[in-house]
Amino acid sequence: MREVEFLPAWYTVVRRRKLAVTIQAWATVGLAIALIVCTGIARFRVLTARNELISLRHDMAKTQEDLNRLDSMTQIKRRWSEQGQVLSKIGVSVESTRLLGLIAQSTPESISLIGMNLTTEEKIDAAKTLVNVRASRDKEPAIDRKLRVRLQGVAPSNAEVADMMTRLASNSFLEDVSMGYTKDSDQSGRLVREFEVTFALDLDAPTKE
Amino acid sequence: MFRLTRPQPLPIGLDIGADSVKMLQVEPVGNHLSVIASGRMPIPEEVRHDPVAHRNVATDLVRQMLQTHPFVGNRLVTCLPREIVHIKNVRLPLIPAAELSAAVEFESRNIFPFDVTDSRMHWVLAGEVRQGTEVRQEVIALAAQNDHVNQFVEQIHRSGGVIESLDIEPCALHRCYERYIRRRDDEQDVFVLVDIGLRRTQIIVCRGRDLSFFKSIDIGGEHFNASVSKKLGISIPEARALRRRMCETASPTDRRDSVTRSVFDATRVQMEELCRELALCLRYYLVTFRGHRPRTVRLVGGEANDPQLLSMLKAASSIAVEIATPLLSADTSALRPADRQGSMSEWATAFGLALRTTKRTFGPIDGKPREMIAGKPAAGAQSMVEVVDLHNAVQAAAKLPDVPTRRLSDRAPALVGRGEEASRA
Repeated sequence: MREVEFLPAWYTVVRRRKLAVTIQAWATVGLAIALIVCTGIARFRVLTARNELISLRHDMAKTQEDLNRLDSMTQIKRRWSEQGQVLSKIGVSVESTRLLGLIAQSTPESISLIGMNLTTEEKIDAAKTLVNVRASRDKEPAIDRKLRVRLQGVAPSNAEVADMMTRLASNSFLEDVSMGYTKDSDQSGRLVREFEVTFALDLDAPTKE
Repeated sequence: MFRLTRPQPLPIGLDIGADSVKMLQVEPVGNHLSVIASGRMPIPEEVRHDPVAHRNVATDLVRQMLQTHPFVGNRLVTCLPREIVHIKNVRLPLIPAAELSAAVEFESRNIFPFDVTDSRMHWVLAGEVRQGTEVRQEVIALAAQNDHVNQFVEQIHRSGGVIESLDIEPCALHRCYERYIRRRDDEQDVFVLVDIGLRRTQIIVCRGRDLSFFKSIDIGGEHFNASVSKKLGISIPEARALRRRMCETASPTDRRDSVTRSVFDATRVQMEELCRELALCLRYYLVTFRGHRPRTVRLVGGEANDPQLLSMLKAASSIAVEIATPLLSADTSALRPADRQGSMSEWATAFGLALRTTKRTFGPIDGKPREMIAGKPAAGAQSMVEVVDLHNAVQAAAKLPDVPTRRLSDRAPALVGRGEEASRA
């Protein structure tokens, strides 16, 4: 069947152009909406990034503060380590006044001290040296330092001597508290008990920690 | 909203008649057609005779129907009004099909009463005719002035619809049946469509997929109504209502009622004139296109359901006359019950227009796929050109002797007058 078409050509052209204009208008509207949405999303991301940056800066400042504190603590630690090394070499310096004050506190009033002898003992700790020989081949050998104190005094009786020894033994800094001897002695016509007490003071204790 | 998975609906067929505006939209469902929506609104009596007011009212009605009826989209296919389409029959020598278009355009310059360069012109190949010893091809040339077409397009576009195609009524009516041709035998089948409208009647002779002849006769329902009105002394609307009521109730043979008898007497003259014109047209067709005998006369249009006219046509013709049922093979469940009554022959034009944009062929609802058909072979040779005055030719054909039967395979005695069988004897 041969079809006839009386529709004017201009109508088809106008329709096509109108369709094209409509499509372009919708495309423009769509593009504008897409741009607005993209701008909104970008702005939201910028705001989010800005907040994250502020938070990051705050964290960095806090971290910097912690780092500074860590540096100062590291310096202190290094200084203390150096002091510890010095102490491990030379041992703890025990002040005589403090030692005498400790002995005076531990000595009852009825006891009179007539002599005191202080001796520093240094001996190499063989077991520790063998264990650490490989790890610290270049280091100094471990030395066990002790301050040996020998006290001589007179007391009215042995009870006072025992009391003194108990007081000395209760002190955590003192060790190896022992009686050297006790005997009767005549002091200006008066019979008293003469005794000798020995104890030791560990000079390496702070450096071991 | 989106109909991606469903079959896409065809454009809306818009038939602007003298008394009503009809719109019909169909969609292909599988191998058959299904009506999506339809609408019919009457044109007021007072504007029917004023062409400008008629078009304005029709535009408003189309807009209303597009808004209130469930049509899908606003694409329209409509036909040009009959009064602005000029039709001429031209007989050309047998020339190649490629040159036929140029030849018709050249010859059309002198046959139309206006300048064809300022008009839209088309042609339809009617077929080969034998003129004496010569064989020629008859072409139906159609032309419409650009101003008229543009005015019509602008008018329709104002209704809110988008015109997809602009057709003519004979092609639309033929398409109703052409889209349902399934067998090769049916391609040679000749049938006559008689479109009886309010103002005029169109006689269209179709041969398979080709349109061979059409002629407009100025007799229609308006003339019948006027005769009844004059005879019974009632107004035109009352006469129309009376005839419509008689079409729905009265039997064609029941003439005992005095009113029925009066109506019959009043319209008999016009109906006989119409029958005579139809007989002449068919005789002209038989004389011109020898060997192709019509087998059926199908009545379409708003006045086709008149039982009196049907009985007169049956009595005057030996060819089977029937009221067409163009929507018989389509699913019409979506039509309103008021529009679904009777033969629905008034929907033929709208239905044919709705099928304009598809090239498919369809089957009945429970039918089988049909075969595709090849085109017509081209003609050759050259000779003189002759313009046929169809009115005079039809009148002259009545004086010619009857045409002998050429095909023995013709099933029905396909001649109009009863004299043919007598002459054959």
